[in-house]
Amino acid sequence: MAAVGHYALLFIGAALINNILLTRFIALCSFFGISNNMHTAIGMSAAVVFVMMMASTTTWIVWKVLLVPLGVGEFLYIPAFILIIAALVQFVEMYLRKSSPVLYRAMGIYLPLITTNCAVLAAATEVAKPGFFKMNMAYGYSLGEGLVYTLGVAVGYGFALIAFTALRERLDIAPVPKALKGNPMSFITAGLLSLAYVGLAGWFGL
Amino acid sequence: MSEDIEKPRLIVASSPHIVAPTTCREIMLWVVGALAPAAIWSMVAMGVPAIVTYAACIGSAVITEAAWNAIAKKPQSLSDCSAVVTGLLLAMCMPPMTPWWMSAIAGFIAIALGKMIFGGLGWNLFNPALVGRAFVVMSWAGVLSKLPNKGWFATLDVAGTKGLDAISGATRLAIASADRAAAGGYGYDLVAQYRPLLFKNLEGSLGEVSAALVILGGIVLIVKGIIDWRIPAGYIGAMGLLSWAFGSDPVFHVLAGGVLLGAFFMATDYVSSPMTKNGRLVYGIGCGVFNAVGRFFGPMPETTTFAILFMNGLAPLIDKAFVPRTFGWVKRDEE
Repeated sequence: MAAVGHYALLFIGAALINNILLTRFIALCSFFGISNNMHTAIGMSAAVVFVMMMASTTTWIVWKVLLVPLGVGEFLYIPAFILIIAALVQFVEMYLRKSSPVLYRAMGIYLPLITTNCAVLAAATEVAKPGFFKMNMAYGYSLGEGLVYTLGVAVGYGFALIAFTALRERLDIAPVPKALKGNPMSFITAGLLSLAYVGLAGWFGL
Repeated sequence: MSEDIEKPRLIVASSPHIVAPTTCREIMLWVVGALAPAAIWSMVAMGVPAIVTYAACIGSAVITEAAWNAIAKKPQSLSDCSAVVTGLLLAMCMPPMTPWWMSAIAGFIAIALGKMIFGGLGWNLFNPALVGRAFVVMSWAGVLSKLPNKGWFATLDVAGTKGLDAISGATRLAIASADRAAAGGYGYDLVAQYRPLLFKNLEGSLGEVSAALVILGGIVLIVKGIIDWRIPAGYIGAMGLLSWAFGSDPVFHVLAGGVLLGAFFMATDYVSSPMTKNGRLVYGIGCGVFNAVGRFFGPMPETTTFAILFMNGLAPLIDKAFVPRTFGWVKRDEE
């Protein structure tokens, strides 16, 4: 029971309370780039869940098996993770194109986009080195904790992205001042939305 | 000729062609009227600081809207009275001893950043009054949290304070929260707080002085058909149920803090709440859940502002999820 609570807190903390988009302002480029169309937003969110889970698993293994034993983890982990994620995503894209055209059509276009999505790198580094995440926890997640945490980050990303896309659909028809049309107004709206997420700060002691 | 332009005899518009005689201004005036008893009672009970807060909030809201329209060369929109409603609601969620300049800034932000920047009335994605309040709370959290210590009870006359056993600036919610943290160590009697919360509560924001008058105003609006009962019902229902589930007194948690004002007057804002009936119920329940969980497991004693802003952010999504079936149409099978 305590374990279930622990994982639930990890998930909620990663998804809502420390929402990667609206509380920590990571991966904002895709947040504003993708959110003008509900269809793309949903596709992107699904692809992010898939890629993040895969990336975090791989980088966690590399961190534990290769980087830490060799004693180079502390200063090599970012370049190593970037390389791994980029190569992995490209490889998966090629594989999907050949083996599963349906899946490829559903999220093929988003895969190369996600390669450069900083949220994936953020989740991967935090799974390896969770010191940043405010939770009383040993330095280093187990693979299970890491996966739950990554799933939380990815679901939080999708949740915020889809909610924001729905808001922007209303914004697009609003008579906002000419100087603020488009991205400026999106940024202001995202700011107000993140003001609402401030209310979540510190829940459950996270 | 000019008369025809001001009051056209023929209105050309797209469907639906049913025209109700109700105007925006009329609805706003009803809201002001429903809030008036609670507002006037809070001025009587709290005295000059309350009046200053009301004046600063409403004044700055009205001036901001007028100035924005003048600068943007748009037709003046003050006559729809929505700026007055925003200012009034904003004042009612501020503590009475808020410095006047802070109230004025909140009014400015509420109208400028909460409403006009989106294109004016009818386009705001978030409740303007709550945007103003959240902005001020985040900007001057230190100042606001120290207010009660200065003691706005100092404005009460000496005779008024004599009958009291102790004077504390803490709100009832804060005491209840501390009591929970101490596992009932203070022995705080929640049931004994019903009477002051309903009729004369001097610890808290201006809108919290009398829960009974706020409920009265809310019921008037529901009976008049100005607000939908689903939002307050969902909000208050979820709040009460969860408070009970968390092992506390549900009536106390509904009466205390901003729940009633939020449920009847803030969450029901036409523009920033969902349009469908089921959507409104879900939206209200979402507000209540956020508020209850935030109150019991969060660091702040009260989270009404953020609960409603959070659900405002989800309102368009809720609308998408609860699209009603078009009359006469059959739902198309999934491809």
